[in-house]
Amino acid sequence: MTSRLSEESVVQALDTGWQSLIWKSPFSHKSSELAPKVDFTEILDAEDPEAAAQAVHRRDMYLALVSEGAEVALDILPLISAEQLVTIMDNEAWHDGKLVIHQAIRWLELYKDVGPEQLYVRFRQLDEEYQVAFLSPYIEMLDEEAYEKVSHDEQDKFTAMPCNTLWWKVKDGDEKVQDFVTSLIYSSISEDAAYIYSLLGMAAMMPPNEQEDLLTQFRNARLEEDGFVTKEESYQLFSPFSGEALYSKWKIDDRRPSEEIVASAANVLFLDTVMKAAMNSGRADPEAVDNVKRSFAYLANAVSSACLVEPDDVTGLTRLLVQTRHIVSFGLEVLSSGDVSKAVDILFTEYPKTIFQFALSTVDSIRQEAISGLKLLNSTAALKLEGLWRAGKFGSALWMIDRDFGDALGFEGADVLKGLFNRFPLINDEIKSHDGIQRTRFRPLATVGDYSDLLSSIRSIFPTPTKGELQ
Amino acid sequence: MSRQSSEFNKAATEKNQLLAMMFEQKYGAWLGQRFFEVESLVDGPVLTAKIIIRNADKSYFYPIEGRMMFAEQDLKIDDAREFLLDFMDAYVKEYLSDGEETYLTIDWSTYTCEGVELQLRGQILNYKIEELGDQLLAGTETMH
Repeated sequence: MTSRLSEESVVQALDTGWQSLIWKSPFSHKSSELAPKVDFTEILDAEDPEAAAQAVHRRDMYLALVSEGAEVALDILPLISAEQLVTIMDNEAWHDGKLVIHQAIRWLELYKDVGPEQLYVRFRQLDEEYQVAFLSPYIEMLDEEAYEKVSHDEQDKFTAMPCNTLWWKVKDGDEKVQDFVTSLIYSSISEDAAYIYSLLGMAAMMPPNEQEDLLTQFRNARLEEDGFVTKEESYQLFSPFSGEALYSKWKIDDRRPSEEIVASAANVLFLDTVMKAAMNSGRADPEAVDNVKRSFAYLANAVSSACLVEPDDVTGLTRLLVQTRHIVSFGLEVLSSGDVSKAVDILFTEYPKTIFQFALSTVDSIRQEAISGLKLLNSTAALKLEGLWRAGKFGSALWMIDRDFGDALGFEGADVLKGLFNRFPLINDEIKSHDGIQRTRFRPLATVGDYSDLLSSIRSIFPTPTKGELQ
Repeated sequence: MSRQSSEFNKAATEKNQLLAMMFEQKYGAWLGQRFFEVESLVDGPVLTAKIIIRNADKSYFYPIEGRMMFAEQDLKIDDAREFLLDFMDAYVKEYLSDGEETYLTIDWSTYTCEGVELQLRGQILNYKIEELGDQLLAGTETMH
C-alpha cells in the first residue's frame, strides 16, 4: 500500500489550492451555488410532474438530487428523463476515470425499490455502452457443448436461460454485485427476453475494457458540455497569461465615473454588487444573469481537474466556485477601477475564464518580487521555487517554502509566501496559537485592498532594496 | 515494557507532531477552527494510535482510535505504525470530505486490509458541556 502520509500525498493536497491551507471567505456565500435551486414540491404538484421534472437542466437535476439525498427524493426519480439518468451515471459511477459499479448500483437499486420492472426499464435507458460495460466483467455464458464439458459442481453454479440451450452465471464481484446482476437479469427476462439474450451475449463476448474505453470518450464529451475540460486544459487556466491587452481595452473606455455606483456592503463581494446592479438597472435580463451565474459554475468545473476534484464532489466544486468567484471579483474590480457600471459591461462582454486568468496574472508581479527577495537568502532554492511556480507545480512550491525557507523566514513569513504561491492566492488573515503551535487562517484574494495587503506583507519580509544596496 | 517499546514511544512524540502538521496540511479546508493531534504507543505486542480532531475549548473532540497486534502479524513496529495510521487516514478523509456523516463504532470494530487485521473505534465528544455539567453538579456554576 502506498503511504497516504507520504510527502507525495501532502504535496498533492497542497497542489489542489483549496484543500490544504485553512481559508475562509469574509464575504456572503449566498450566490455561491453550483446550480439554481430545484423545487421538488413544485415539480410534484405540477399538472404534468414528468414534464416539469424533465424540463430541468440535466446537471441542475443531478445536483438537486445529490443535495436533497437521492433516497429522500424517491418520488422524483421515476420522473426524470433518460438523459438526466445518464448524467447521474456520468457523475456518480466513476472514480479516477474508471467505472465503479457499486456507485451505479446505489442509484439503480433505488429504482428497484420503486418497482422491480423499473430496474429493467431504467437500466435499458442507459447507453448501450453503459449496459455492456456494467455487465461485461461479471457475466459468463456457456452454450450446450461447453456446459456439458464442465464438472457437475460447476454446472450447478450456472442458471439456464428460458431456451435451455444457454446458461449464465455471475462471476466475480461481491455479494452486492452478484445480487444486483441477478435481479437485473430476472427482471429483464420477464419484461423482454430478446433484449436480455442480446445484452448477455454482448457482455460475455466483448473484450475486457473495450466498452469502458468507448464509454469514457462519450462521457468526457458530455462532461465537457458542463465545463469539465481535460487536465491539460484545466492546467492552462493557471498558466502565464498576458493581461495587458485586456487591461488596455477597458482602460481606454474612459467614460465618466458612473453616477449609479452602488456602495458594496462590507460583506458583499464586488462581483455580487455588479450582478445586482445589472439586474436592477435593467441592463441584463434574468436569462442573461442566469447565464452568467451558470458560467461561473462552468469555470469551477473547468478548474476542477487541475484541483483534483471529481465531477461528483459537490463540496469540492462548491469550494472551487467560491475561490474562482473571489478571483474574478478581484479581476473585475481592477479592470473596471471599481466602477460598477463599467464592471457590468465587462462582466457581460468577457468570459469569466478570461477575467480569472487576468486576475491571476496580476499576482505574478508580487510573486516575482518575492523570488527576488528569496534569491538574497538562498539563490539556488529561489531559482528552483521560481521554476516550480512557472511550471504550475504549486504543491511542490509550497512544500519547498516550508522546507527551504521556513527557518530563515519564520512561521509567519513562510505562511505569507505559501498564501502568495498557492494555486489560488490567499492572504494571511490571522494567526492562532494553541499549545505553542501556531496556525494561520487565510482569506481568498478578492479585492484590490487584499492585493495591497499581500504586497505590503511581501515588502515587510523583503524590503525593497535602496539604490545604494542595488549598487 | 520492553526496550524496543520504550525506544519507540520516546521517538514517537516528535513523529506524531510532524504527522499532526501533515494532517492539517492535507485537510485544512475542512478544519475551520479545529486542529489535529496524533498519539501512538506500543505496549508489548499491541500498537495503539489516536488521531484527534478537536477545537481549542474541546466542545468538539473526536478521538479516532486504532490498535493492532503487530508482532503476531509479522510486522515491525515502524511499519505497523505507518500501516495503522495510513488506514486511519483513509477514514479521516472519508469522514471530513463526506460531510462528517461517516461514523466509527463506539466499541472496537475489526477491519482487514491487505491481510492485516486491525481495530478502530471513535466517538465525538463535547468536553465543554461535560465540564459545565460537572461544575453545575458541584455547585460552582449557575445557569444563566
